[in-house]
Amino acid sequence: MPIVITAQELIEHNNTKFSIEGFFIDTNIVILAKDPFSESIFPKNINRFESVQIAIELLKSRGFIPYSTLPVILEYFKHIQFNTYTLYLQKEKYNAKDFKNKKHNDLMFKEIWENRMKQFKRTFKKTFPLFEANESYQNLLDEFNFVDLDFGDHLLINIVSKVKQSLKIIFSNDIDFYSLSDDYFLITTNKNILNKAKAERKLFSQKF
Amino acid sequence: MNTIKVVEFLNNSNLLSSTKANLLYKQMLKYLNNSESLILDFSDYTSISSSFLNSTIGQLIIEKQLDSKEKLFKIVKIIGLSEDDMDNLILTVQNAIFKNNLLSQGQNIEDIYSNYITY
Repeated sequence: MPIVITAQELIEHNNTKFSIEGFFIDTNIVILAKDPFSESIFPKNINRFESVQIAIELLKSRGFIPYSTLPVILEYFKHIQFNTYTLYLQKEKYNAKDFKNKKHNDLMFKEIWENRMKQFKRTFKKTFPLFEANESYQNLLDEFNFVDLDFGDHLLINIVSKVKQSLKIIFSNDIDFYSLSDDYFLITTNKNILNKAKAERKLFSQKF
Repeated sequence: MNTIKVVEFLNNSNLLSSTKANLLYKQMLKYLNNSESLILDFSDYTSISSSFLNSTIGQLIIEKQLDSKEKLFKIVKIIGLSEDDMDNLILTVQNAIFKNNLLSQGQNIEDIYSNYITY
């Protein structure tokens, strides 16, 4: 299991107890940071979104680079695509043919989609720059443990396992990342992960 | 026209927390109750979160039942935001107008979001 660390601890102890220059973000963090459907307007959601947004800004302001990866970009795109369609058109199921039709012929939907895509592109050009990983996709398929992980998480873990030490850190609120190898740090704002890590003495503050 | 210099008013250039956003929102409402429009000046800000935009501009759109961005910009002139954050603001506006449409149809927006947004 990875050592769980908070954004604040990372800032306080960097270059003394370890040396980190950037970190990888998981798709759930992009969703919480960018909040593409303004879900944080509901009081029950505010803490979940705000804690990630504050952590990201804090880390960026101290020079840490929040890297994205291709699987994360694809997952985020799917999140935007499916939910823009189902929410705005109030459809229970995504229909690819109808989506294409609306994107071209429904003026209101077209405008909504264009604004979303503008933000989508900018998100991965500026906020979360793409980390160019040299991966052998054949090996990635061979190594896929489909029982414990979804494919996107598997790709992210593989990329992180091969980068230099100063980048071996993932920011995710997905508990799956806590149950894997101990080869990296895990930044999280998820209270369940923090409590579990505390009980199992895997918090950074308990280790150092 | 009244101007709120956001960074000066909140004494903070990081516009991230909803607590700060609520203070700004109340001030915006106060000004708009006394005059038809105001200028929101974001000059000198360092960062701004989508939660902050939702809790200020998004909330205002819902409170005033605005149904277009033109109507918003008629009562609130926004200056000093970067091009990127202006795009984020446009999305916030779009989302809030959509919520207004749902409200005007008598729908429960939290239910709609729970039913149609999946992860």
